[in-house]
Amino acid sequence: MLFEKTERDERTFAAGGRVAGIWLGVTHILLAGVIFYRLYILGQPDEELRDFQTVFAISLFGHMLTQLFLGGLLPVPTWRGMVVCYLTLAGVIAAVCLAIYGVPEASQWHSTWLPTFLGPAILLGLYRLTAWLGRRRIEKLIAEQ
Amino acid sequence: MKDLEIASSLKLARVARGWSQAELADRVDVTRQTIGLIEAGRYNPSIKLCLALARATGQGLDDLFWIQGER
Repeated sequence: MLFEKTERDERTFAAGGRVAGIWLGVTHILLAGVIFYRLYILGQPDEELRDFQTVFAISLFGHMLTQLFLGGLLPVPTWRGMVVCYLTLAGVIAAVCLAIYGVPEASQWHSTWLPTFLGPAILLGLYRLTAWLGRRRIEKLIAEQ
Repeated sequence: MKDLEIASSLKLARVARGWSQAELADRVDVTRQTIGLIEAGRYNPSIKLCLALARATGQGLDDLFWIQGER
């Protein structure tokens, strides 16, 4: 036997969760730093960073959604709240992008206007779904008692 | 939640039975280090583990664990 037998219990399990959380955070910060450095310091084109951006987005949102779902108690927004959040998010993103890049060419709509208006809708939709599923899961657990 | 410090008489109960930390750890299915940290007041066990320790040592839960300064 090359290693001694390793025991697991509630303490080591909790410590493992904390360690994983800390290093996931560090990894996210480093990955965001690499993307920022390559995009804005080295001036590399956006297309060359698609793999980094995809991994970063999946990891970041996957982590957040899973944690929120398992944690359970998220405020579930009303439909009116969703509309207000959507208009605010899309408005802020559009205003910031217009201020930085100016008005985009009409032919570039799929890489400018589409993500500006579709992105917040997808994010809010995923959030509401996760919040609803999380709350439903906990209520079901309680009802089973 | 207020951060409560938990005190215990686990070491006394264990030594009274002539058990080592490893023996008690085996009985409640945790690591020896976890028992050591509970005895040193460096780890707050779950209610499940508290009950397992109380059962293993034949003590009541209140006799084994209490909030620091309340006894």
